[in-house]
Amino acid sequence: MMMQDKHKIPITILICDDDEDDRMLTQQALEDAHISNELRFVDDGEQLLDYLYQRGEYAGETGAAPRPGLILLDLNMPKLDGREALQRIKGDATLVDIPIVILTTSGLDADVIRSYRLGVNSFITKPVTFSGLVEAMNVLGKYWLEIVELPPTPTLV
Amino acid sequence: MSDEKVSGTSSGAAAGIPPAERLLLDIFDTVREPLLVLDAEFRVTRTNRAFFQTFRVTPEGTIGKVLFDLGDRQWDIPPLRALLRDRLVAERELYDVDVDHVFPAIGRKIMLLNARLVTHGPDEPRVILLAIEDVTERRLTERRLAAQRFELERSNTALNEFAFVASHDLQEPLRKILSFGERLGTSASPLLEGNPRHYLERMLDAAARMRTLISDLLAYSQIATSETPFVTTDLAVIAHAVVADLETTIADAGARVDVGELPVIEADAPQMRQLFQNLLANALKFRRHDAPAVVHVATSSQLNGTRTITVTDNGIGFKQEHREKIFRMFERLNSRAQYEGSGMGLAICRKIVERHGGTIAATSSAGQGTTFSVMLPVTQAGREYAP
Repeated sequence: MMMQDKHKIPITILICDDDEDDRMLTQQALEDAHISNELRFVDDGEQLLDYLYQRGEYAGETGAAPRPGLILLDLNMPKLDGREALQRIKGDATLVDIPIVILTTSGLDADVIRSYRLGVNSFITKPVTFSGLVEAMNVLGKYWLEIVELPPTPTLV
Repeated sequence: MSDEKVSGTSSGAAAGIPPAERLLLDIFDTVREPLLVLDAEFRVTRTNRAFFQTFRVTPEGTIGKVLFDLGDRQWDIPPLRALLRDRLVAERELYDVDVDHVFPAIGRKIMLLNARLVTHGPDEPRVILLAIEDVTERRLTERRLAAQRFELERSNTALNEFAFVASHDLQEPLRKILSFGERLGTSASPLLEGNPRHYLERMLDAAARMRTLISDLLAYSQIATSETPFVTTDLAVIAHAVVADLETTIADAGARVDVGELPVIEADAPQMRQLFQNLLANALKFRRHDAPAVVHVATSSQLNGTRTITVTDNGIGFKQEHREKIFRMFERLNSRAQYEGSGMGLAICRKIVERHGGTIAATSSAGQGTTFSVMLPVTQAGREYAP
Protein backbone atom coordinates (compact mmCIF):
# COMPACT_ATOMS: atom_id res chain seq x y z
CA MET A 1 0.00 0.00 0.00
CA MET A 2 1.21 3.48 -0.92
CA MET A 3 1.95 5.64 2.08
CA GLN A 4 1.63 9.34 2.40
CA ASP A 5 4.28 10.20 4.94
CA LYS A 6 6.60 8.88 7.58
CA HIS A 7 3.67 7.94 9.76
CA LYS A 8 2.53 5.46 7.14
CA ILE A 9 -1.00 6.68 6.87
CA PRO A 10 -2.24 5.68 3.41
CA ILE A 11 -3.80 8.55 1.53
CA THR A 12 -7.31 8.61 0.16
CA ILE A 13 -7.66 9.13 -3.60
CA LEU A 14 -10.74 11.16 -4.55
CA ILE A 15 -12.03 10.59 -8.08
CA CYS A 16 -14.35 13.19 -9.58
CA ASP A 17 -16.05 12.01 -12.77
CA ASP A 18 -19.68 12.30 -13.86
CA ASP A 19 -19.58 9.17 -15.98
CA GLU A 20 -20.33 5.89 -14.23
CA ASP A 21 -18.53 3.80 -16.85
CA ASP A 22 -15.44 5.93 -16.50
CA ARG A 23 -15.51 5.72 -12.71
CA MET A 24 -15.69 1.92 -13.04
CA LEU A 25 -12.84 1.83 -15.59
CA THR A 26 -10.64 4.10 -13.47
CA GLN A 27 -11.32 2.00 -10.39
CA GLN A 28 -10.48 -1.24 -12.20
CA ALA A 29 -7.39 0.29 -13.78
CA LEU A 30 -6.19 1.38 -10.33
CA GLU A 31 -6.84 -2.14 -9.05
CA ASP A 32 -4.99 -3.69 -11.98
CA ALA A 33 -2.12 -1.31 -11.27
CA HIS A 34 -2.09 -2.68 -7.70
CA ILE A 35 -3.00 0.62 -6.09
CA SER A 36 -4.99 -0.37 -3.05
CA ASN A 37 -5.47 3.03 -1.45
CA GLU A 38 -8.93 4.00 -0.30
CA LEU A 39 -10.89 5.38 -3.26
CA ARG A 40 -13.74 7.85 -2.94
CA PHE A 41 -15.94 8.99 -5.79
CA VAL A 42 -17.90 12.16 -6.48
CA ASP A 43 -20.04 12.90 -9.56
CA ASP A 44 -19.38 16.56 -10.33
CA GLY A 45 -17.69 19.76 -9.20
CA GLU A 46 -20.41 20.68 -6.74
CA GLN A 47 -20.21 17.33 -5.02
CA LEU A 48 -16.43 17.61 -5.00
CA LEU A 49 -16.58 20.94 -3.16
CA ASP A 50 -19.23 19.60 -0.76
CA TYR A 51 -16.91 16.68 -0.02
CA LEU A 52 -13.84 18.87 0.54
CA TYR A 53 -15.72 21.36 2.72
CA GLN A 54 -17.56 18.50 4.47
CA ARG A 55 -20.94 20.06 3.91
CA GLY A 56 -24.27 18.91 2.48
CA GLU A 57 -24.35 15.12 2.30
CA TYR A 58 -20.77 15.06 3.65
CA ALA A 59 -21.53 17.13 6.77
CA GLY A 60 -20.95 15.62 10.16
CA GLU A 61 -18.38 13.06 11.12
CA THR A 62 -15.08 13.29 9.24
CA GLY A 63 -15.17 9.58 8.41
CA ALA A 64 -17.75 10.41 5.73
CA ALA A 65 -15.23 12.48 3.82
CA PRO A 66 -11.59 11.87 4.74
CA ARG A 67 -9.37 14.59 3.32
CA PRO A 68 -7.89 13.24 0.06
CA GLY A 69 -4.15 13.10 -0.57
CA LEU A 70 -4.75 13.18 -4.34
CA ILE A 71 -7.66 14.22 -6.53
CA LEU A 72 -8.27 12.80 -10.02
CA LEU A 73 -10.47 15.36 -11.72
CA ASP A 74 -12.45 15.16 -14.96
CA LEU A 75 -13.00 18.41 -16.86
CA ASN A 76 -16.32 18.07 -18.65
CA MET A 77 -19.05 17.57 -16.06
CA PRO A 78 -22.53 18.97 -15.48
CA LYS A 79 -23.35 21.61 -12.84
CA LEU A 80 -19.90 22.74 -11.78
CA ASP A 81 -17.29 21.52 -14.28
CA GLY A 82 -13.70 20.56 -13.57
CA ARG A 83 -12.26 23.89 -14.68
CA GLU A 84 -14.34 25.86 -12.19
CA ALA A 85 -13.84 23.32 -9.42
CA LEU A 86 -10.08 23.48 -10.03
CA GLN A 87 -10.15 27.26 -9.81
CA ARG A 88 -12.06 27.21 -6.52
CA ILE A 89 -9.81 24.61 -4.91
CA LYS A 90 -6.57 26.27 -6.03
CA GLY A 91 -7.96 29.61 -4.86
CA ASP A 92 -8.61 28.36 -1.33
CA ALA A 93 -5.63 28.46 1.04
CA THR A 94 -7.01 25.48 3.03
CA LEU A 95 -7.26 23.22 -0.07
CA VAL A 96 -4.50 24.48 -2.35
CA ASP A 97 -1.97 21.93 -1.12
CA ILE A 98 -3.99 18.88 -2.29
CA PRO A 99 -2.39 17.65 -5.53
CA ILE A 100 -4.85 17.55 -8.42
CA VAL A 101 -4.38 15.48 -11.56
CA ILE A 102 -6.72 16.18 -14.47
CA LEU A 103 -7.88 12.92 -16.04
CA THR A 104 -10.01 13.78 -19.03
CA THR A 105 -10.83 12.88 -22.62
CA SER A 106 -10.04 16.42 -23.71
CA GLY A 107 -6.59 16.83 -25.19
CA LEU A 108 -7.32 20.40 -26.30
CA ASP A 109 -4.40 22.79 -25.95
CA ALA A 110 -6.74 25.38 -24.50
CA ASP A 111 -7.77 23.00 -21.67
CA VAL A 112 -4.20 21.97 -20.94
CA ILE A 113 -2.95 25.56 -20.83
CA ARG A 114 -5.86 26.78 -18.75
CA SER A 115 -5.55 23.93 -16.24
CA TYR A 116 -1.86 24.59 -15.62
CA ARG A 117 -2.54 28.32 -15.31
CA LEU A 118 -5.10 27.50 -12.66
CA GLY A 119 -2.44 25.53 -10.79
CA VAL A 120 -3.14 21.90 -11.67
CA ASN A 121 -0.35 19.48 -10.74
CA SER A 122 -0.59 17.19 -13.78
CA PHE A 123 -2.77 16.77 -16.83
CA ILE A 124 -3.48 13.33 -18.29
CA THR A 125 -5.55 12.71 -21.41
CA LYS A 126 -7.42 9.44 -20.84
CA PRO A 127 -5.76 6.71 -22.88
CA VAL A 128 -8.10 5.16 -25.41
CA THR A 129 -7.46 1.56 -24.46
CA PHE A 130 -7.92 -0.07 -21.10
CA SER A 131 -4.34 -1.35 -21.04
CA GLY A 132 -3.25 2.23 -21.72
CA LEU A 133 -5.31 3.39 -18.75
CA VAL A 134 -3.79 0.71 -16.50
CA GLU A 135 -0.34 1.81 -17.61
CA ALA A 136 -1.20 5.45 -16.87
CA MET A 137 -2.48 4.52 -13.39
CA ASN A 138 0.68 2.51 -12.81
CA VAL A 139 2.92 5.48 -13.56
CA LEU A 140 0.60 7.84 -11.72
CA GLY A 141 0.67 5.60 -8.63
CA LYS A 142 4.43 5.25 -8.76
CA TYR A 143 4.91 8.98 -9.12
CA TRP A 144 2.37 10.44 -6.70
CA LEU A 145 2.37 7.68 -4.13
CA GLU A 146 6.02 6.59 -4.11
CA ILE A 147 8.36 9.16 -5.59
CA VAL A 148 7.04 12.58 -4.57
CA GLU A 149 6.78 13.92 -1.06
CA LEU A 150 3.20 14.98 -0.41
CA PRO A 151 2.30 17.57 2.21
CA PRO A 152 1.31 15.93 5.50
CA THR A 153 -2.45 16.05 6.15
CA PRO A 154 -3.06 19.31 8.01
CA THR A 155 -4.95 19.27 11.26
CA LEU A 156 -8.58 19.73 10.39
CA VAL A 157 -9.86 23.23 10.94
CA MET B 1 -41.40 80.62 -61.18
CA SER B 2 -38.20 82.58 -61.31
CA ASP B 3 -37.83 85.49 -63.64
CA GLU B 4 -34.20 84.59 -64.08
CA LYS B 5 -33.23 83.41 -67.55
CA VAL B 6 -33.73 79.73 -67.82
CA SER B 7 -31.87 77.47 -70.22
CA GLY B 8 -33.08 74.22 -71.64
CA THR B 9 -30.74 71.58 -72.86
CA SER B 10 -28.16 72.46 -75.44
CA SER B 11 -30.58 71.74 -78.27
CA GLY B 12 -32.05 74.95 -79.57
CA ALA B 13 -29.74 77.07 -77.43
CA ALA B 14 -26.74 77.01 -79.74
CA ALA B 15 -27.11 80.50 -81.20
CA GLY B 16 -24.86 83.13 -79.66
CA ILE B 17 -23.15 80.76 -77.25
CA PRO B 18 -19.32 80.96 -77.29
CA PRO B 19 -17.61 77.76 -78.57
CA ALA B 20 -16.02 76.91 -75.21
CA GLU B 21 -19.37 77.05 -73.42
CA ARG B 22 -21.06 75.13 -76.23
CA LEU B 23 -18.49 72.38 -75.87
CA LEU B 24 -19.21 72.23 -72.15
CA LEU B 25 -22.93 72.05 -72.83
CA ASP B 26 -22.42 69.24 -75.32
CA ILE B 27 -20.32 67.31 -72.81
CA PHE B 28 -22.99 67.94 -70.18
CA ASP B 29 -25.61 66.52 -72.50
CA THR B 30 -23.55 63.52 -73.59
CA VAL B 31 -22.83 62.21 -70.10
CA ARG B 32 -24.87 59.09 -69.39
CA GLU B 33 -25.56 60.00 -65.77
CA PRO B 34 -28.34 62.43 -64.93
CA LEU B 35 -26.90 65.88 -64.11
CA LEU B 36 -28.66 68.90 -62.64
CA VAL B 37 -27.69 72.50 -62.14
CA LEU B 38 -29.68 74.23 -59.40
CA ASP B 39 -29.69 77.79 -58.22
CA ALA B 40 -29.34 78.76 -54.58
CA GLU B 41 -33.09 78.21 -54.08
CA PHE B 42 -32.86 74.66 -55.50
CA ARG B 43 -34.57 75.65 -58.74
CA VAL B 44 -33.46 73.60 -61.75
CA THR B 45 -31.62 75.86 -64.20
CA ARG B 46 -30.23 73.10 -66.40
CA THR B 47 -30.41 69.34 -66.80
CA ASN B 48 -29.21 66.86 -69.39
CA ARG B 49 -30.92 64.24 -71.52
CA ALA B 50 -30.02 61.44 -69.19
CA PHE B 51 -32.07 63.12 -66.45
CA PHE B 52 -35.20 63.27 -68.58
CA GLN B 53 -34.75 59.72 -69.74
CA THR B 54 -33.97 58.22 -66.36
CA PHE B 55 -36.82 59.89 -64.48
CA ARG B 56 -39.25 59.97 -67.43
CA VAL B 57 -39.95 63.69 -67.18
CA THR B 58 -40.13 66.48 -69.76
CA PRO B 59 -38.06 69.67 -69.97
CA GLU B 60 -41.28 71.72 -69.58
CA GLY B 61 -42.11 70.07 -66.27
CA THR B 62 -38.56 70.44 -64.97
CA ILE B 63 -36.72 73.60 -65.86
CA GLY B 64 -37.35 76.48 -63.51
CA LYS B 65 -39.06 74.28 -60.93
CA VAL B 66 -37.79 73.73 -57.44
CA LEU B 67 -36.16 70.28 -57.28
CA PHE B 68 -38.36 69.09 -54.43
CA ASP B 69 -41.55 70.03 -56.34
CA LEU B 70 -40.64 68.16 -59.52
CA GLY B 71 -42.97 65.50 -60.98
CA ASP B 72 -45.59 65.02 -58.23
CA ARG B 73 -42.97 65.96 -55.63
CA GLN B 74 -41.16 62.67 -56.28
CA TRP B 75 -37.89 64.36 -55.28
CA ASP B 76 -39.31 65.59 -52.01
CA ILE B 77 -37.18 63.17 -50.02
CA PRO B 78 -36.43 64.33 -46.44
CA PRO B 79 -32.88 62.95 -46.34
CA LEU B 80 -32.15 64.62 -49.68
CA ARG B 81 -33.49 67.94 -48.40
CA ALA B 82 -31.30 67.65 -45.33
CA LEU B 83 -28.30 66.78 -47.47
CA LEU B 84 -28.67 69.72 -49.82
CA ARG B 85 -29.92 72.28 -47.29
CA ASP B 86 -27.51 71.53 -44.44
CA ARG B 87 -24.58 69.34 -45.32
CA LEU B 88 -23.89 70.80 -48.73
CA VAL B 89 -23.98 74.37 -47.43
CA ALA B 90 -21.66 73.43 -44.59
CA GLU B 91 -19.28 71.18 -46.51
CA ARG B 92 -19.67 72.65 -50.04
CA GLU B 93 -19.15 69.15 -51.49
CA LEU B 94 -20.92 65.82 -51.15
CA TYR B 95 -19.22 62.68 -52.34
CA ASP B 96 -20.98 59.41 -53.10
CA VAL B 97 -24.05 59.65 -50.89
CA ASP B 98 -26.65 56.89 -51.39
CA VAL B 99 -30.32 57.93 -51.43
CA ASP B 100 -32.72 54.99 -51.31
CA HIS B 101 -36.18 56.07 -52.46
CA VAL B 102 -39.33 54.85 -54.16
CA PHE B 103 -39.98 57.06 -57.18
CA PRO B 104 -43.61 56.99 -58.38
CA ALA B 105 -42.64 56.73 -62.06
CA ILE B 106 -39.72 54.33 -61.90
CA GLY B 107 -40.07 52.49 -58.58
CA ARG B 108 -37.53 51.94 -55.88
CA LYS B 109 -34.11 53.21 -56.81
CA ILE B 110 -30.84 53.71 -55.00
CA MET B 111 -29.28 56.91 -56.29
CA LEU B 112 -25.66 57.81 -55.74
CA LEU B 113 -25.41 61.57 -55.32
CA ASN B 114 -22.42 63.81 -55.85
CA ALA B 115 -22.92 67.54 -55.39
CA ARG B 116 -20.90 70.73 -55.31
CA LEU B 117 -21.79 74.22 -54.21
CA VAL B 118 -20.07 76.60 -56.60
CA THR B 119 -19.63 80.37 -56.39
CA HIS B 120 -17.81 82.03 -59.27
CA GLY B 121 -17.30 85.41 -57.65
CA PRO B 122 -18.32 87.42 -54.59
CA ASP B 123 -21.29 88.92 -56.41
CA GLU B 124 -22.22 85.84 -58.42
CA PRO B 125 -25.12 83.68 -57.24
CA ARG B 126 -24.33 80.31 -55.81
CA VAL B 127 -24.92 77.34 -58.10
CA ILE B 128 -25.44 73.74 -57.10
CA LEU B 129 -24.12 70.99 -59.38
CA LEU B 130 -25.77 67.66 -58.76
CA ALA B 131 -24.82 64.35 -60.38
CA ILE B 132 -27.14 61.42 -59.90
CA GLU B 133 -26.16 57.88 -60.66
CA ASP B 134 -28.58 54.99 -60.56
CA VAL B 135 -26.69 52.36 -58.55
CA THR B 136 -29.74 50.22 -57.72
CA GLU B 137 -28.46 47.13 -59.55
CA ARG B 138 -24.99 47.46 -58.14
CA ARG B 139 -26.15 47.98 -54.57
CA LEU B 140 -28.63 45.10 -54.72
CA THR B 141 -25.92 42.83 -56.13
CA GLU B 142 -23.52 43.96 -53.42
CA ARG B 143 -26.12 43.27 -50.74
CA ARG B 144 -26.92 39.87 -52.21
CA LEU B 145 -23.22 38.99 -52.30
CA ALA B 146 -22.71 40.21 -48.74
CA ALA B 147 -25.70 38.14 -47.60
CA GLN B 148 -24.39 35.09 -49.45
CA ARG B 149 -20.94 35.53 -47.98
CA PHE B 150 -22.37 35.87 -44.52
CA GLU B 151 -24.46 32.74 -45.04
CA LEU B 152 -21.44 30.87 -46.41
CA GLU B 153 -19.29 31.87 -43.44
CA ARG B 154 -22.06 30.91 -41.05
CA SER B 155 -22.56 27.51 -42.61
CA ASN B 156 -18.80 26.92 -42.74
CA THR B 157 -18.54 27.72 -39.05
CA ALA B 158 -21.52 25.52 -38.28
CA LEU B 159 -20.01 22.67 -40.30
CA ASN B 160 -16.68 22.96 -38.51
CA GLU B 161 -18.40 23.07 -35.14
CA PHE B 162 -20.51 20.09 -36.08
CA ALA B 163 -17.51 18.06 -37.22
CA PHE B 164 -15.64 18.97 -34.07
CA VAL B 165 -18.47 18.22 -31.64
CA ALA B 166 -19.51 15.07 -33.49
CA SER B 167 -16.02 13.64 -33.64
CA HIS B 168 -15.20 14.71 -30.09
CA ASP B 169 -18.40 13.26 -28.62
CA LEU B 170 -18.19 10.10 -30.73
CA GLN B 171 -14.82 9.33 -29.18
CA GLU B 172 -16.42 8.89 -25.76
CA PRO B 173 -18.64 5.84 -26.34
CA LEU B 174 -16.03 4.37 -28.63
CA ARG B 175 -13.37 4.55 -25.96
CA LYS B 176 -15.73 2.58 -23.69
CA ILE B 177 -16.45 -0.04 -26.35
CA LEU B 178 -12.70 -0.52 -26.72
CA SER B 179 -12.01 -0.50 -22.97
CA PHE B 180 -14.81 -2.86 -21.93
CA GLY B 181 -14.16 -5.04 -24.98
CA GLU B 182 -10.56 -5.34 -23.89
CA ARG B 183 -11.69 -6.16 -20.35
CA LEU B 184 -14.05 -8.78 -21.74
CA GLY B 185 -11.25 -10.32 -23.77
CA THR B 186 -9.05 -10.50 -20.68
CA SER B 187 -11.54 -11.63 -18.04
CA ALA B 188 -13.47 -14.08 -20.24
CA SER B 189 -10.30 -15.36 -21.82
CA PRO B 190 -10.63 -19.00 -20.68
CA LEU B 191 -14.21 -19.14 -21.98
CA LEU B 192 -13.55 -17.47 -25.31
CA GLU B 193 -12.27 -19.97 -27.80
CA GLY B 194 -12.66 -20.34 -31.54
CA ASN B 195 -15.44 -18.29 -33.09
CA PRO B 196 -16.46 -16.21 -30.02
CA ARG B 197 -12.86 -14.99 -29.61
CA HIS B 198 -12.69 -14.32 -33.32
CA TYR B 199 -15.90 -12.24 -33.19
CA LEU B 200 -14.61 -10.18 -30.29
CA GLU B 201 -11.32 -9.53 -32.08
CA ARG B 202 -13.15 -8.42 -35.20
CA MET B 203 -15.36 -6.10 -33.14
CA LEU B 204 -12.36 -4.54 -31.46
CA ASP B 205 -10.53 -4.18 -34.78
CA ALA B 206 -13.54 -2.39 -36.24
CA ALA B 207 -13.82 -0.15 -33.19
CA ALA B 208 -10.12 0.70 -33.44
CA ARG B 209 -10.56 1.60 -37.12
CA MET B 210 -13.50 3.80 -36.24
CA ARG B 211 -11.34 5.53 -33.68
CA THR B 212 -8.78 6.34 -36.38
CA LEU B 213 -11.54 7.65 -38.66
CA ILE B 214 -12.94 9.85 -35.93
CA SER B 215 -9.62 11.24 -34.79
CA ASP B 216 -8.69 12.01 -38.40
CA LEU B 217 -12.04 13.73 -38.87
CA LEU B 218 -11.38 15.69 -35.70
CA ALA B 219 -7.94 16.69 -37.02
CA TYR B 220 -9.53 17.71 -40.33
CA SER B 221 -12.17 19.85 -38.64
CA GLN B 222 -9.56 21.60 -36.52
CA ILE B 223 -7.44 22.78 -39.45
CA ALA B 224 -9.59 25.78 -40.28
CA THR B 225 -9.90 26.89 -36.67
CA SER B 226 -6.22 26.63 -35.75
CA GLU B 227 -5.18 29.58 -33.63
CA THR B 228 -1.49 29.13 -34.29
CA PRO B 229 -0.25 32.32 -35.97
CA PHE B 230 1.45 32.26 -39.35
CA VAL B 231 5.17 32.66 -38.67
CA THR B 232 8.35 32.52 -40.70
CA THR B 233 8.88 28.80 -41.11
CA ASP B 234 11.87 26.98 -42.57
CA LEU B 235 10.34 24.06 -44.45
CA ALA B 236 13.73 22.31 -44.58
CA VAL B 237 13.83 22.19 -40.77
CA ILE B 238 10.26 20.85 -40.74
CA ALA B 239 10.98 18.22 -43.41
CA HIS B 240 14.11 16.98 -41.60
CA ALA B 241 12.18 16.77 -38.31
CA VAL B 242 9.49 14.69 -40.02
CA VAL B 243 12.11 12.40 -41.56
CA ALA B 244 13.57 11.94 -38.07
CA ASP B 245 10.07 11.09 -36.72
CA LEU B 246 9.62 8.53 -39.49
CA GLU B 247 13.04 7.00 -38.95
CA THR B 248 11.72 3.58 -37.93
CA THR B 249 9.20 3.46 -40.78
CA ILE B 250 11.89 4.47 -43.26
CA ALA B 251 14.28 1.81 -41.91
CA ASP B 252 11.58 -0.89 -41.89
CA ALA B 253 10.69 -0.08 -45.49
CA GLY B 254 14.35 -0.06 -46.51
CA ALA B 255 13.58 3.33 -47.98
CA ARG B 256 15.65 6.42 -48.71
CA VAL B 257 14.27 9.96 -48.27
CA ASP B 258 16.28 12.84 -49.77
CA VAL B 259 15.41 16.34 -48.63
CA GLY B 260 16.75 19.01 -51.00
CA GLU B 261 16.66 22.79 -50.73
CA LEU B 262 13.35 23.98 -49.31
CA PRO B 263 12.09 27.55 -48.93
CA VAL B 264 11.39 29.65 -45.87
CA ILE B 265 7.77 30.82 -45.95
CA GLU B 266 5.13 32.24 -43.62
CA ALA B 267 3.03 29.37 -42.39
CA ASP B 268 1.26 27.63 -39.53
CA ALA B 269 4.28 25.55 -38.48
CA PRO B 270 2.44 22.61 -36.85
CA GLN B 271 0.25 22.32 -39.94
CA MET B 272 3.34 22.29 -42.20
CA ARG B 273 4.68 19.47 -40.09
CA GLN B 274 1.40 17.59 -40.49
CA LEU B 275 1.51 18.23 -44.26
CA PHE B 276 5.03 16.80 -44.66
CA GLN B 277 4.24 13.97 -42.25
CA ASN B 278 1.21 12.94 -44.33
CA LEU B 279 2.95 13.30 -47.70
CA LEU B 280 6.05 11.35 -46.65
CA ALA B 281 4.06 8.66 -44.83
CA ASN B 282 1.91 8.37 -47.95
CA ALA B 283 4.97 7.98 -50.19
CA LEU B 284 6.42 5.30 -47.89
CA LYS B 285 3.16 3.43 -47.52
CA PHE B 286 2.38 3.10 -51.21
CA ARG B 287 5.83 1.77 -52.14
CA ARG B 288 6.44 -0.99 -54.62
CA HIS B 289 7.44 -4.29 -53.16
CA ASP B 290 9.92 -5.16 -55.87
CA ALA B 291 12.18 -2.13 -55.43
CA PRO B 292 13.43 -0.07 -52.48
CA ALA B 293 11.42 3.13 -51.95
CA VAL B 294 13.17 6.38 -52.86
CA VAL B 295 11.48 9.68 -52.00
CA HIS B 296 12.72 13.11 -53.08
CA VAL B 297 11.58 16.35 -51.48
CA ALA B 298 12.60 19.45 -53.43
CA THR B 299 11.66 22.95 -54.56
CA SER B 300 10.56 22.90 -58.19
CA SER B 301 9.71 26.50 -58.91
CA GLN B 302 9.75 30.01 -57.46
CA LEU B 303 7.21 32.24 -59.19
CA ASN B 304 5.28 35.40 -58.31
CA GLY B 305 5.77 35.18 -54.57
CA THR B 306 5.00 31.45 -54.45
CA ARG B 307 7.12 28.35 -53.97
CA THR B 308 6.31 24.93 -55.34
CA ILE B 309 7.54 21.96 -53.37
CA THR B 310 7.48 18.48 -54.85
CA VAL B 311 7.43 15.13 -53.11
CA THR B 312 8.32 12.45 -55.63
CA ASP B 313 8.27 8.71 -55.01
CA ASN B 314 8.87 5.57 -57.05
CA GLY B 315 5.86 3.79 -55.57
CA ILE B 316 2.80 2.04 -56.97
CA GLY B 317 1.30 5.28 -58.34
CA PHE B 318 -2.32 5.56 -59.44
CA LYS B 319 -4.28 6.09 -62.62
CA GLN B 320 -4.32 9.73 -63.69
CA GLU B 321 -8.15 9.71 -63.67
CA HIS B 322 -8.00 9.39 -59.87
CA ARG B 323 -5.85 12.47 -59.35
CA GLU B 324 -8.71 14.50 -57.83
CA LYS B 325 -10.41 11.64 -56.03
CA ILE B 326 -7.42 10.95 -53.79
CA PHE B 327 -7.85 14.34 -52.06
CA ARG B 328 -11.45 13.64 -51.01
CA MET B 329 -12.37 12.73 -47.45
CA PHE B 330 -12.41 9.00 -46.64
CA GLU B 331 -11.42 8.21 -50.22
CA ARG B 332 -9.31 5.11 -50.74
CA LEU B 333 -8.00 3.58 -53.95
CA ASN B 334 -6.76 0.33 -52.41
CA SER B 335 -8.39 -2.30 -50.24
CA ARG B 336 -7.91 -2.08 -46.50
CA ALA B 337 -6.32 -5.51 -46.50
CA GLN B 338 -3.52 -4.20 -48.74
CA TYR B 339 -3.04 -0.75 -47.22
CA GLU B 340 -4.32 0.38 -43.82
CA GLY B 341 -5.65 3.88 -43.44
CA SER B 342 -8.65 6.15 -43.04
CA GLY B 343 -8.45 7.86 -46.43
CA MET B 344 -8.14 11.20 -44.66
CA GLY B 345 -4.41 11.89 -45.03
CA LEU B 346 -4.47 13.68 -48.36
CA ALA B 347 -7.78 15.44 -47.59
CA ILE B 348 -6.03 16.90 -44.55
CA CYS B 349 -3.08 17.92 -46.77
CA ARG B 350 -5.37 19.71 -49.20
CA LYS B 351 -7.21 21.52 -46.42
CA ILE B 352 -3.94 22.70 -44.87
CA VAL B 353 -2.56 23.91 -48.21
CA GLU B 354 -5.80 25.71 -49.09
CA ARG B 355 -5.90 27.39 -45.70
CA HIS B 356 -2.50 28.83 -46.61
CA GLY B 357 -3.86 30.08 -49.94
CA GLY B 358 -2.00 27.45 -51.95
CA THR B 359 -2.78 24.46 -54.15
CA ILE B 360 -1.84 20.78 -54.13
CA ALA B 361 -1.94 18.42 -57.07
CA ALA B 362 -0.65 14.97 -57.91
CA THR B 363 0.62 13.46 -61.14
CA SER B 364 1.11 9.76 -61.56
CA SER B 365 0.42 6.73 -63.63
CA ALA B 366 -0.01 3.24 -62.28
CA GLY B 367 3.32 1.63 -61.47
CA GLN B 368 5.27 4.77 -62.32
CA GLY B 369 5.54 6.55 -59.00
CA THR B 370 3.83 9.75 -57.95
CA THR B 371 4.74 13.43 -57.68
CA PHE B 372 2.82 15.68 -55.32
CA SER B 373 3.24 19.39 -56.09
CA VAL B 374 2.45 21.81 -53.31
CA MET B 375 2.32 25.48 -54.28
CA LEU B 376 2.39 27.84 -51.29
CA PRO B 377 2.56 31.64 -51.06
CA VAL B 378 5.73 33.02 -49.48
CA THR B 379 3.87 35.54 -47.33
CA GLN B 380 0.50 35.45 -45.68
CA ALA B 381 -0.01 39.24 -45.53
CA GLY B 382 -3.64 39.94 -44.75
CA ARG B 383 -4.37 36.25 -44.33
CA GLU B 384 -3.77 36.04 -40.56
CA TYR B 385 -6.10 33.47 -39.05
CA ALA B 386 -7.92 33.25 -42.38
CA PRO B 387 -10.20 30.23 -42.52
